[in-house]
Formats: sequence, structure tokens, C-alpha cells
Amino acid sequence: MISMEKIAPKIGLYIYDPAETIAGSIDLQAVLEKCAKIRQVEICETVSEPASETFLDSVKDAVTSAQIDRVIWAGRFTSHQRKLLESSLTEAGLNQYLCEWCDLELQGIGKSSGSAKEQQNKAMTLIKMAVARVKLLMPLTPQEIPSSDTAVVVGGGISGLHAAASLLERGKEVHLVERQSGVGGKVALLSRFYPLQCDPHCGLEYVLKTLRKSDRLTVHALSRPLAVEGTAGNFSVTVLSQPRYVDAERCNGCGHCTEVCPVDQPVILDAVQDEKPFRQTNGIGVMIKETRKAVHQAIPYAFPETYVVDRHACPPDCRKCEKACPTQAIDLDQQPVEKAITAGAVVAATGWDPYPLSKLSDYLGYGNIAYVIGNLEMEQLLRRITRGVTDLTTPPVNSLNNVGFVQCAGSRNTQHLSYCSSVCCSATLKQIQQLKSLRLEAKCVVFYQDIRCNGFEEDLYRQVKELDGVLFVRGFPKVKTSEAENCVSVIAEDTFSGRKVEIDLDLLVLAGGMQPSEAGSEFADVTGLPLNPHGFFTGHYQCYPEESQRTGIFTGGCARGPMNVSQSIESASRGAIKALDFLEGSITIKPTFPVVDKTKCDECKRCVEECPYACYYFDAKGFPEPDLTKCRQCGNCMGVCPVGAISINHLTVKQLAAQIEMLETSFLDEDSPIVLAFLCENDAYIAATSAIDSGLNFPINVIYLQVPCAGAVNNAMVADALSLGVDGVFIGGCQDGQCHYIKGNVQVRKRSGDLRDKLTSMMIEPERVRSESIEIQDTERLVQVLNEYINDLKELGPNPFKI
Amino acid sequence: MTVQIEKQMSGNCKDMEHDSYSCVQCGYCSSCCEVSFISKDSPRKVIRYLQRNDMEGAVMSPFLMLCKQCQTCSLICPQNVDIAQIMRELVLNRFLTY
Repeated sequence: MISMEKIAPKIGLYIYDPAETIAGSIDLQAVLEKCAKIRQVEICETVSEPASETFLDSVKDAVTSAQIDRVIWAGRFTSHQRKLLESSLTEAGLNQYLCEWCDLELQGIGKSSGSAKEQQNKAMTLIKMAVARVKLLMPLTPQEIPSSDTAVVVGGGISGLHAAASLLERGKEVHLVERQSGVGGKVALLSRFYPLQCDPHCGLEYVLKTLRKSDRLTVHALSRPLAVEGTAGNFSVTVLSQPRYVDAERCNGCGHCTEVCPVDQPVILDAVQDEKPFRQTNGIGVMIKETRKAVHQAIPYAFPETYVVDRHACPPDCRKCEKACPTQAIDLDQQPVEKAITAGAVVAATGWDPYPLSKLSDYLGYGNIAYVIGNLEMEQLLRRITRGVTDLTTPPVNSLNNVGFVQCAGSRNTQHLSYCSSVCCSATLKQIQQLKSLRLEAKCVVFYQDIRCNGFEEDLYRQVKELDGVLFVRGFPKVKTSEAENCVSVIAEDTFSGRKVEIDLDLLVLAGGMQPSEAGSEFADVTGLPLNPHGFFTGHYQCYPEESQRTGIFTGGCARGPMNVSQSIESASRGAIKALDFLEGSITIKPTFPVVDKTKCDECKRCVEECPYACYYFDAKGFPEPDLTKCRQCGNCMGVCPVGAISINHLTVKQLAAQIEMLETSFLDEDSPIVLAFLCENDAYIAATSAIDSGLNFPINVIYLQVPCAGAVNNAMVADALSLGVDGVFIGGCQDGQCHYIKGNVQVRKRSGDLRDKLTSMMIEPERVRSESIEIQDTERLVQVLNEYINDLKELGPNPFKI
Repeated sequence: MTVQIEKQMSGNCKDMEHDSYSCVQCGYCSSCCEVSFISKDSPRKVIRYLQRNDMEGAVMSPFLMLCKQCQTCSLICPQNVDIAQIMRELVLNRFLTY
């Protein structure tokens, strides 16, 4: 390892110009001679074969013999060459952060407008700027933060189960927190899945295989998370569990308790939010009532296998089950338990709730007109018919002769759910298929707006259209009480023929929509996570849909938005995969994180406010400190700090200042303005390099620096550049809404008021600063904008501070 | 380009300051309208005339004489089109122009 004590830096400068793009435009030899004379540049040479053994050995020797202790590679290297050079230097013991890559061609040398002399001057300036920066580089090593290998999965529906299974299969410990007494969520209430008409219990059992045989899984049923504290790698999740009143270690599921239980209580299906889901009208109506005992198997699916007692339903002083249990498993004195779980990551799979159909009762009659049910109730009905349940509460299947379905019931409606609930069209078609298989003579009418069967679900649509006795009417219906008995009346305008459709139905099924679950909203409150305008968890939707604003907390399944079972499973798996990064025992932090100089900090807290990831906390003395597991290293804190107390390692305030100072504003003649541009690495910088590569006439006046985010640009840097004679400062950031760091581009613009004041007090025209939104492919636009800007600067005249 | 053409189609609607353009022709208004099936036209059809820039068709529709301004259509429209207001203006248009 090279010691970095107060020894003057020794720079090796290597220029690679295989196509002579540079040598063809400027006198490269003269440039090299001048560079060799720069203090602390010990080696200055051109390279012809960077990947050759001889060259690599020579560089390694130069490092090990302490001839140089840092390197500048100037030129266009292929990634293969880069990797070879980097690994050779690492072998020689040189820290990778003492190695700088700069490309004269990408700054326009040999590729932009300008005379040979101008290009040569610019090339010299660029090299001097690189040298000034490299003199101040420091060796850096990544930080390791220890992390737990335990994950908490919130929600035991199909998404949560698959997330848990994925994590268990990777050897992680998983705590599954489910608010009901059993897992399965909404999927356990369905009759069939589409498109194969398979039984949801089969799918559940399949994923439960992994869970059953794992000894690293703890299921917390009847539980909810009360708090999620800490940070990625080291969360503390507080879980409150209501008592089951049954001892998990003793209960063997024999069911004797249910035989003696005197209570028969209606199941308020989790599926519906109304208190009286199955309303009666004048004593007539479809009643789909399931009942159960006070002591019963877990709902909605019997996993965990331990029984559960609903104490609210127990008659006073009744302890029949306790006495009847052959293994003394029932303990009616159990108490709620609160537990804190240490976890490296949290996956939220809190699912959805059905949109309350009673909100549509005015025109669709749910709740006040008989024979109108929702799609989840239809699932229950189909399930009971399939199992041959024949009781007073289930209508006999041969009474179902005319069944109607109303699509978009409450969805795609600005007054209810404005979005499309995604699955209801396919779900209705699936229900029709199943109904027809149970009763071929049943006639079905679908009142629809658009049948939205994406991808291969279109096959389902075709199959159903080909069935006999299925009619599709495009028009939204009005539901009325029928004059005939035992049916419901529907009228609609068939919007294709313009004619009135009037029909009496035995049953009308409203294809209701999906809204964010109450459990999900509760979890958002607990964690402080933001939700999208529809109330679902949101990450960076396009690229990182599983992320949330808190690093280490991921989301999956319908908690993010309406989706079908297969999509939920994939979505949950994505959450689980990303969670693995925080479950490996340690988290590696790249060393390019912000550091706060507490001797300068005056605790104004602007960094805390502006950090897009809310990663700053306060240390014991009240100084802001970034949480490195949350920090995305965007530099916004550095950009906003009014006293320059924050620096990103490897892009420090001093390094930037040194670069700016070396910018020779005389490299063009007096009438040509010099522009220093700060371009964000995700969009604007790439646009600039592409513009130059595609041979667009990039103005020679511009020297640009790459920053992680436009928000990393500090007003002081801008003012410095202008006070040193630069004619204009250009800041290129992402388009609004597209900033990779959420809002950096907006924040840098917000600071323009302060910047304006600062510049005016320095007698510098604020118009010399321009900020623009540049997209990644805006190559032509960037060149155009820069040219216009340069013209404006010409009219403004040269900077009075220019030498 | 497409947007321009479509906007042109409902160009006449600009006078009325209403967005019949938002209508997706779902037929909800027709099903809730008590008088919708008496004449050959329904509220949805009248809006369709406007969307097709057929001002005469809209203004001369027999449905307009039946509309009693109960406002049910405007209330339930899932796209928040103020249908009752459009009907009112069309009727005015009819009396003033034809």
C-alpha cells in the first residue's frame, strides 16, 4: 500500500489516441511537452498498446517503485482495456480511487468546432484541470455495515407467501406477519384461477410446501406491525399478536372442540367490508351465508394449523371447548403479545381490499335490491355449488338460468376508482366458464365498457364468446327491482345499436374493483411511506417498482396496484430478490458518500430537508449525519449546503474548486464566451457525450463536468466559476418527474433565488447562469440550446472578471 | 397530430365550453335517464353527434324535447361530463338558430 502521508503527489499521465483523432487536430507533442513540465507530473507519455504485457508491467513498476502514486488515463479506452488497466493497478497496490479517467475527445477535442489553436488551448486546459483534481484525490475503501439475515414479510396472501418462500429457499430467516388467523389472503376466497380453472388451494399448498418444511420460518398470525424503526440491514419491527387462545404446540387439529361449541356465527367474509354483506329485501334474496363455530380452523386457509377461538363470539363463561380438547390445547386466558424483531429487510405484501359496492347502490342496487352480488361473493357461490353444498343459503344451481355481469362496477370512474382494476374482465370470463361447466343451460349477459384481456388472456375471451348463450352488451346498466318474483331487472342502452336492452336476471354479479387494503394503509402510516394518488405503495415505477422511499423496505403484489395472481407472484419475488441485498450479513457501501465537516456546519438543516431519501439524522451533538444505508450518493446535500460543509468523497468541494480554478478562460479569443457546464450523470452528461460522438457540431466554448445529479451543484461553485472569469455556467439536469434522484433537478432550480442575490451582490449578471432539462437522447437539442446560450452570452458581453 | 384532428372534430363544442370529448360512450347516462328510450335518441347519442361534429344532428335531436333536466346523467357520468348542461345549451342553440 502506498502511504499517503504528507508526500507530494506524483502523477502518471498517459494519453491514448489510437485513431489519432487528437493528434490529427492539435500538436499533441507540444501538449505533452508542456504537460511533462507541470509540477508533480512525473510521467507523461502516449500509449500505443494499453493492453500489452509490456505496457502493463511498466505501469505496475512505476507504481511499485513509487515513481508515481496516482494515474490519469486520458483517451478512449475500451471497457476491456479499462478492466485490464484497473486490475493491474490494483495488483500493484494502487487504490482504485487514485486513478482518473478523462477523455479529451469526449470534451470535443478533434470532434467539435474550433480552430487547431483553440482546440490545443482547450486540450491543455482540460489536462490541467484533470491534474489539479487528481492532486487532491484520496484513497478510499468501501465501508461494511453489519446486517441481519432475517426478513420480515408483512402479509400472508399469495404475494407474501411467495416472497417468504423465495427468502427461505435462500437460507434466510423469515418472520411472516399476517393479520388474519391464517394465510391465503384474497386468493383463498376464490373459487378458481384463470386461465386454467385451477383450484386456488392447490396453488397455496404448493407454495406452503416450502414454508412447511422450513425451520427458519415464524408465522405471526392475528398480528400487525406497530412500528418499523432503524435502517436497512438493522430494522427493529415491533409486532403485536392477538391471542389465538389455542396452544400451537398442543393443538393437533382434531376438531373435537368444534363439535361441542354451541355457537354458530355467520362468517363476515374478509372479502366484503359491509357489515351485512348479504342483504335481504322483503325476506327474499340471495343469501350466501357461511357459518362457523367460535372455535375454528384458521381463516381463510388452515395454515398455521393451530385452531383459533373467536372470543367475541363465545357465550359468557362457556369453556366447553377447553374441557373437550383431548390434548388440553385450548387456553382461554392467553394474552396479546408484543415482540420486537430485528430484521435486515422488510417486504410489504399487504394486498388489496374490494371496493365497497354499497357505494354504487344508487344505480347498481347493491345492498338494497335483491339478487345483486359482488364478484367475490360470486366466487363464494361458485365454490359452494362446486362442493355440492345444498342449504337454504345457497341458491340451487338449476335456479341460475339468467346471470348478468356488470363490468367496471366502480372502476374507471372519476367518482369512485379512477383507474382500471385490471383483473375483473378476465375474472368475469372465468366465472362464466365455471358457471357454464356447472350448468350448461345458464344464459349469461355481460354488460361491459371494454373487455380488457391482455396478452394471452385474449384466448379466454375468445373461448367464452364461442360458448352458447353468452351475450356481450356494451352499455352500462341500471338495476331495478323486478316486478316478477325472484329476479332482478336490468336496463341498458346497447351503445352499438342504440337500442334498449331490458332483461330480468336470476342473479346479477357486479365486477367490483380493487382498492388499496386497509392493512396496507395502516402499514404506510406506521412506516411513513408515501403512497401514490390512488393509495398504493409506489417506488420508481418504471425501473425500480419494488422500492419504497425507505431503503430496505420493499413492496410486492397488489399492495402496489391491481394485478392478477401470476403478476403478484412475480412482483413479490422481485421484492424478495432486492431484499436479499440487505440480508447477507453485511452491506457494502461505496465510499463515495457525503461527509459533513462539523467544524463548518452551522446546523441550518437544509441538507436534512433536501435529501430526497430523507437519510440524514442528527448525531449526539445535533449535527446532521447521513445514514449510509439509505444514502444514494446523489450529492444534493453538498449542493444545498450554504457553508460548503458537505463533500462527497471523490467529488469534494475542494476537488471541484481546484478544477474550476485551473480553467483558463483565455483558451478562446476574447469574443468567444467560455461556458462551464455541470451535467447530471444520468441524462445530460450522456446527451453531451452522444452529441459529440455523433459528430454534431458541439460548441468548443463548453467545458463540462459530470455530477451525479444537477442538485449536487452548489451555488458557491457557480459563483466561484463566474468570479474566476467564466462567462457562463450551464446546469443540465433531468426532466421534471424523471430525475433519478427524485427531485434533484427541481431543487437546484429552487436555489436560483439565492444564487441570483449572491451574483448580484458580486456585480455579476444572474443571466450568466442557465439551467435546462436535458433528456438522455436530447443530443441535437442540447447543442442547439448551448449555441443559443453562447449567443446570448455574446450579447451580454464578456465577464468583467475575465482576464 | 392525432390530437389536433380529434379536437377539430369536437370543434363546435368549444362554444359550449364543455368537454363532450371526454365522453367514452359508456351508456351510463342512457341507462339512468328516465326518458331515454322514448324517442329514437338517447343522451349518449346526442353527445355522439357532438363528437362527430354533427351540430345539426345534435340540436335537432328529438331527445332534447324530452330532457327534463333531472341532472341524474351529470351526476353519474364516470368521466364527469356535465351532460345536463350540454342538453340545456343545445336546446338554447336550437331555439336561437333554427
